[in-house]
Amino acid sequence: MKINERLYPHPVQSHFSDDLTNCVFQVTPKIHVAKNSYKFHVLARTSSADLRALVASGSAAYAIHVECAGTRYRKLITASDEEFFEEIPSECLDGRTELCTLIVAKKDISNYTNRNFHPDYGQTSFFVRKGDVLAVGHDVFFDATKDIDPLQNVASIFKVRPNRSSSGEPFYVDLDSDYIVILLSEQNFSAYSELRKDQDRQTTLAAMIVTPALVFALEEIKRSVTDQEDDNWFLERRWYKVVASKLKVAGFNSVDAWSEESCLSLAQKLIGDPLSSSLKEMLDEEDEGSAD
Amino acid sequence: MRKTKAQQINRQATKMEKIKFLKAGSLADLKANLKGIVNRYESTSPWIDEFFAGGAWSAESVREIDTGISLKLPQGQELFDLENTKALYTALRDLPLHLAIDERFWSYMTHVTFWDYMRARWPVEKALSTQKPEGYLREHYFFMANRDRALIRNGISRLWWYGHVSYDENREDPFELTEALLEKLDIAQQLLERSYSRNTMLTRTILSMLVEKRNAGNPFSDRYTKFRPLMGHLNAIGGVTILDALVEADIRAIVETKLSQIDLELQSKTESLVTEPVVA
Repeated sequence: MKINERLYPHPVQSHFSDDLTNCVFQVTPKIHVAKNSYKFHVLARTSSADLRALVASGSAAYAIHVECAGTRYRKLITASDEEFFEEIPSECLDGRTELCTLIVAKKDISNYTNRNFHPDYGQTSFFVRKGDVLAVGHDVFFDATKDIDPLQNVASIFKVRPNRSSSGEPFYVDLDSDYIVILLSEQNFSAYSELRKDQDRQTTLAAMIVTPALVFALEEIKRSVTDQEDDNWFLERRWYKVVASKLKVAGFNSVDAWSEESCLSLAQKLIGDPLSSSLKEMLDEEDEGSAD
Repeated sequence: MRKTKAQQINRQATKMEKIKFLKAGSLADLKANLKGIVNRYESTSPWIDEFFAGGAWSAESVREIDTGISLKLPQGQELFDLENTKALYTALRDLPLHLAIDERFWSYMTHVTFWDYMRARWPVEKALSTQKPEGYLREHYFFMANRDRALIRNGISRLWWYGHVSYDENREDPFELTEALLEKLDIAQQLLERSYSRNTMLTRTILSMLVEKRNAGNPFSDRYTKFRPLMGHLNAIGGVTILDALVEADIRAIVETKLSQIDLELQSKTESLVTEPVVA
């Protein structure tokens, strides 16, 4: 569940509205990956005294809403203390997991007022139903994927395969699986299969095949984010997780941070600089040839 | 002593075999090449071995499952989704969750184990006239990109997940809610493709009410007049209220209120049709 900016029928403390002024709501969930579970340590704080009073009286509660589309897992965890803990078995979560941080009403509240209401509300009070949102914090996302190692070789996310289509293009990249699949025409695949047996050809092949495929993948991600596509299709792909994990190590914490560099530059950060290496190899071969 | 239906359902496994699944690389290869191999999906027998030309394209788990499952093939309009859900879920009820969400496992099932069923229930011929039949194949023979829907669109995993969300061993007939879920395909789709259906209590409450209302002669399964408006209403409420903060009684109250409102509106429409004078 993602809580996008929206208007509520009653004032809600949030980072995207001024329904409540001069107060903040902050939740810091820390997630620890244990052997068979995910352990959540949550610190929730609001500077609104009236909201704190509602929680203390049992009329409201601090909450985190945990949802994982991959496993169809969904749970609301509530607490009356600002600090609370929860443990979720690891099999319940797989892939992208969304956490919404909230204060929710635990019962109907007939005349909800708050000293921090925006002055425009005057003396108005509101009826709040059980389950209604009273405060919204920032959404948190984490990847419950157990075996993505930042040290993992980026080359391992590529598969080179023959294109079985009768109109097989010389070079085609498919991103719709856990690998970046590079389809080569039958003729090109045959040549590639032969050439890759030679260790000296590896960097040249990487420059010719892997680099453009990786640039394409990065461009597709950037385009998807720029076009604000809803489904963010790439987030669950293993290749994306490896790429994102490696870029994070290089200091790029999010896709938005990637926009500061060209995809060509990012690709080279990920797989080194095969072009320079292969050009050097070819020059060395030339020199060896002329020396004979 | 007469067995309850739940006891009857605990059938003896008929054919225990090691779980097989497509290797990740093989799965990626198949999906990437879909456009060029659409015609293979018209084959009357599994063709994966031939596609990978003798290469090792599958792997085995140490875990075993009962593969002695017989799925009924559709006959005309009769799709037998309920019967097949019961058969598959009964045999695979103990399937661990990590396998229940694994595209490699379910793709093996669609391409090998239940190929005959898939050819009959999800024939590629339905999509050949469209611009992109490979989209149809991705949806029903693999997992589509949208993970929300992938599990309930794949031709075999959907049967397991229908059983998983609705099976209730506390009932005389543990598949009673499954029957309500699959009474009409629109119910399963409208309910399970909404994110709030991931809340088991909420889903089972709605299904229970479907059963109760049907038995009382006041069903609300009609898709246009009642069920879809109800699902839309819950969605709208979910924009303000965290549905997961509610208990069963709260959900029942919301559903009853909305159904009463719908009934009143329908009655009012019917009355206005009857009382409005016919202009010659």
